[in-house]
Amino acid sequence: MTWTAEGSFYWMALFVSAAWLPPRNARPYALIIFGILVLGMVSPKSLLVMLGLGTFGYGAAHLRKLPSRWAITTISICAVGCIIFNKANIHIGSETTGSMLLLGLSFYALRIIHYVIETRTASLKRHTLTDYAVYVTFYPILIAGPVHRFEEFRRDLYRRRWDRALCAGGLERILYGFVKITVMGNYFVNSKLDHWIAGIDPSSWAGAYLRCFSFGANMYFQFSGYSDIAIGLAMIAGFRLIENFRFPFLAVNIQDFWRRWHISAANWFRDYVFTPTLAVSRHPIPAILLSMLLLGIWHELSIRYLAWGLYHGFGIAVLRLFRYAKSAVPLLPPGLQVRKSATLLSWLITLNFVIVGFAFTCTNTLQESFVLLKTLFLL
Amino acid sequence: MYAFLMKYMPALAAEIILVIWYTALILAVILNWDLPQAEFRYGNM
Repeated sequence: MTWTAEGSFYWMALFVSAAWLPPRNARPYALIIFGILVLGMVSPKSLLVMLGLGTFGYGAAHLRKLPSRWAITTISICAVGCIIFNKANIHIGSETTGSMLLLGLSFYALRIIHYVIETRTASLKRHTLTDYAVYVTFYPILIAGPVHRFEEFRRDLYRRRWDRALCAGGLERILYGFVKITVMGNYFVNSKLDHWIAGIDPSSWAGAYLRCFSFGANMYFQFSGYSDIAIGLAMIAGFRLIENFRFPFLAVNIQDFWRRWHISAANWFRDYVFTPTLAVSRHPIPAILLSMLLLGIWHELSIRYLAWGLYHGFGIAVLRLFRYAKSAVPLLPPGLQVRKSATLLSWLITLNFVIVGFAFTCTNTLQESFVLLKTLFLL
Repeated sequence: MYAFLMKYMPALAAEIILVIWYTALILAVILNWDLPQAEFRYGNM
């Protein structure tokens, strides 16, 4: 189920109709029914798991007899268990288990955990079961995020009015999303760049580097295109979703990169893994490594993604240590501005760090990744 | 984008450029619609 699949425009039109045509009081129910119908038609198993986990999440959030600590632990174990079971099934990877893929689980599991934690810590305003159900089953973010937050979503659900400017902005975002997917991703990267790279010796440095670059560029255009379409569609329905990408390849350091790349997931792991771990360990390095490691295996339950997460974790840890050392021993005299060339150098280092990191994810095995890395480092 | 163009040029010119820009983008999408979908492999989410 993708935005470029046959019939996706009909689904979009039906979604917008469900968002605006019913009477005001019935609109949330129309949105819930629409989300359930779409997922049910595409993958009934995914729908059952979503409804089960969603119901369990609501119970864990509101069951007064259950202590908060237990509620959060239980829902986290259940959601993470579902994700691991799902990903392990895919990873075992036979044709028969391929159909086990539960659509959108990685995303709505994070949303449900967020909801339970925020409800238990009394951070959410009064809301109803309907608000929560719309939040979990919201069609544009059902399959590929972004991992939107409940409070902002609930506010939009009540305040939304037909707004021509917002609708025009939404249409523009959808168009840009399709341009990213079809023109930039499918044509420039997948068709032209990959065709050009195919002529370069894959065991050469240039071949290895371009393979990583092409993978990263394709992933960026595809995923940010998907996010643009989701955000645009939600805008037409009167919802403002969190941005998921903000020119990540312009980041000037690796921390900045994670503020620009898959922002909603990175924020989730910052709030619910990094911050609690930091509170317990009182040291940022273990918290950084753990959150990046979990972020890595959230993408895919494999050694390659674990290594990718750790690679980025080490990058952020080294940056933090460098900043600490720099503050202890100032490299520049006070008052002297950092030159533009230093920012340029910083951007180049970050860009190449990220591109080299794709060596872990663009291959099929860790051994292949190491071969690619050896080529990249001319070993 | 309209607001950006309006800052630097008269309204009519901004509107004409905007129409050309969106038409070009829509045409580019239509022309590339049938290309095979690139593999979107960002883990197995």
